Amino acid sequence: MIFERLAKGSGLLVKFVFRREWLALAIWTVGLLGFAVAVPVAFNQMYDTEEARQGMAVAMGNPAMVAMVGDSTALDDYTVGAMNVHMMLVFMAIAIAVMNIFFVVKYTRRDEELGREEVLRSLPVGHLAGLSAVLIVALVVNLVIGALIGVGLSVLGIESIDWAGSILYGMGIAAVGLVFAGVAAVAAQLCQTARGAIGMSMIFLIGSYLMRAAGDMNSEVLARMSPLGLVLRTEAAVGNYWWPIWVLLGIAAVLVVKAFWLNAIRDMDQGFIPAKPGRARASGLLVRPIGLSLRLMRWMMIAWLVGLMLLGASYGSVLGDTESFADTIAQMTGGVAEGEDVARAFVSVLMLIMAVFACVPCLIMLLKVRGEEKRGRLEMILAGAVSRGKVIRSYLVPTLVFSFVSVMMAIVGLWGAGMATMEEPIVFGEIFRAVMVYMPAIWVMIGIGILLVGVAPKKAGFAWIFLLFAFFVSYFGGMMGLPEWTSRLTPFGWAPEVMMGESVSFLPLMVTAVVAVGLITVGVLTYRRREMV
Amino acid sequence: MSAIKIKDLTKRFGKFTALDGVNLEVEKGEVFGFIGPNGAGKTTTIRTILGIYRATSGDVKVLGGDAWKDAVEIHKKIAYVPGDVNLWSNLTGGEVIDLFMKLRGAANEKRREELVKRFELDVTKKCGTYSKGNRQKVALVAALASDADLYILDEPTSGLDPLMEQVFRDEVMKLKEAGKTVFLSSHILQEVALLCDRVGIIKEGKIVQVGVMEDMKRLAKDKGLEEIFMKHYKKDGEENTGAEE
Repeated sequence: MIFERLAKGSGLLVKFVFRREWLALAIWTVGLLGFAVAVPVAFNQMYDTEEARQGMAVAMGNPAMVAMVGDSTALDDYTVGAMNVHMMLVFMAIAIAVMNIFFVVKYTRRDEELGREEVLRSLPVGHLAGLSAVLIVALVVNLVIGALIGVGLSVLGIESIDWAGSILYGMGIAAVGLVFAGVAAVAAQLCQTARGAIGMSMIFLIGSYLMRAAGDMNSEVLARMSPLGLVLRTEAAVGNYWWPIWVLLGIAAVLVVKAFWLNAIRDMDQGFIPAKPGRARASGLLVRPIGLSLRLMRWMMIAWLVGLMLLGASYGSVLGDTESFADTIAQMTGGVAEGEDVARAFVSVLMLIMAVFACVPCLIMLLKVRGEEKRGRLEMILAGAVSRGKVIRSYLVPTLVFSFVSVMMAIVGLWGAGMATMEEPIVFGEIFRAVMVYMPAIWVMIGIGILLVGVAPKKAGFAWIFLLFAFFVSYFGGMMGLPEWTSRLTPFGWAPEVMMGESVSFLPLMVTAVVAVGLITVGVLTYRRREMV
Repeated sequence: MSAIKIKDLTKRFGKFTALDGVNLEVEKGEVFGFIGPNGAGKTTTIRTILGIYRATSGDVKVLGGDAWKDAVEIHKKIAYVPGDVNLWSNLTGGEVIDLFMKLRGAANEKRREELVKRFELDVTKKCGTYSKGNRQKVALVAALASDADLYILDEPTSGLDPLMEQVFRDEVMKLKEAGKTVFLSSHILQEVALLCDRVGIIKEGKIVQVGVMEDMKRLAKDKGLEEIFMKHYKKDGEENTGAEE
């Protein structure tokens, strides 16, 4: 009877959720599995000698790396299995946590917010059927992903990764996934908006990561209090301890029960944390187009700046040990010639990679103007005394400024971490020059974005494809030995490699800059003359 | 002088003709009702008047300027409520009202406060948590609190409760007394009959009738005004059977 009242219809809703979400879940599954399997295969080939592996162990044992990826008990016997767990497990766990957070919130609080839950509740469906259907799907998906990863790893035939270690690795990932499904389910009850629920879950995830980082460096207790720290304690393929899995599953179960309880005692559309009242009046900055665009993008901008600095710092933290993984660097750069400094060759590639990375937030910011148009919000702005030129400038100018700031953040992170780890740190001015030569290329990417927004707004997303191509060529070009001309197809290929002693000749830089200015001008002019679509 | 003067306006989207030779004149100081079935071209006409769409051919003059070329200057004197109010979910209603008012030009603080109170709007809430009616109120407060010459209102009362509809009607009457021009697109025939001096009816991209409200009421006599309007809402074939019986 009580089942009838609370959970009737769950089975049907499970099918319904699968039908709505199967593609996204399938993509996540394939992606996670591919990543989990490809990395150990690559490690197995790259570090095929004991010597190479121990070199890596030295590099990975420094405090910066321990903070970033976690601690390992197997640094003196750094097998491919130990290496894989050490470097990948935390990141796999974060990835599956993100998947669970988005999935669970989408089918709980978001559906409620959009009024879909209301329609379902009006049908002969139990009070908790919606939540139980989502959590059943989450359980199945996490277990399937965990099992696939376990089986996938064990059939690779890598000596140090036996089936027991593989299954434990997969189940560790699945268990963290379930914990965060529970976290998101509780957050969806507490917060009144989907945005709030995702934010709260993400804060929990970031908190877990930071606790693990601090714990792995100083305090075992602290590390064990974080789900991400716990999963590392399985020492899959090394010690193979199952107790952390049971603890994680216990946490997940408690969270799920809590979520059901909260769901049962609250009314639809209500949360336990009341949405706090916002400002009744706008600040002086907000009421201009540029103030509005900055306000809409501020958290995204801050997140990217922090992210880029951490990316820079994580690369920088290994600069002191470049000799120990010279082979990797040689592969990335397409070979280091005799007499060339390995660290410098590495930094040289990093400059290019960071320049390409910095384009991502720039394109997001630029294409936002198109998103606002598509969502019908630009209509009211243009109905005010605001010209199209002003609208496009309110996105273009912040983007251009941001392109410089984001590159700076990345190299400050790199240089700062490099300072701490290198015996002879690279001078900041040199890194600065080495990355500044890529600025015109970044502006060309911005130009392509704005040209598309102006000329072909419905196809503006194509800018991403070009950036993806540029990323592919610059990241894998050296590794795969792609011919030189492929890099010349992207604006990045025309900049000199300052770190490798190439002199800065101004002609190619000027030409790139002129192309950028041309693209931006044409884009702005056509935008000013076109109607909203 | 007329506030809006549209001559032979044609607007095509690719092969689809949304407006087909529209002629329309709105005098200064009048409340002009603009009615017609869904998809007849009401919103397209309004967006062309606002210079958000560009006329394929024809001439659109608003407050003496060209709707497309002089859009920015014209908009300083126009207040607008869109048919579909899309707001930023993470800004509060109060912030959005200020934004809309300031983008137009000077803001009338006293009117803003008065209208927020009359429409009973909680301006500290995020727009993402507003119902359709509350989003509508945000746009209405921002428009009505502006000192504009021309008010363009596209189905402004959709989602409002009857009490709020009454507040809206009061406010439009105030604008009328102050000699402002109001261009009111609406589906609520009763509202149009009550507020408007003249009415234009659009159907399949063409203006099919323009008339003075008083004349129309006299013509309609016992049949009622609604029937005159209704026949334009029906498809051509149905017209006779629908209206006569």
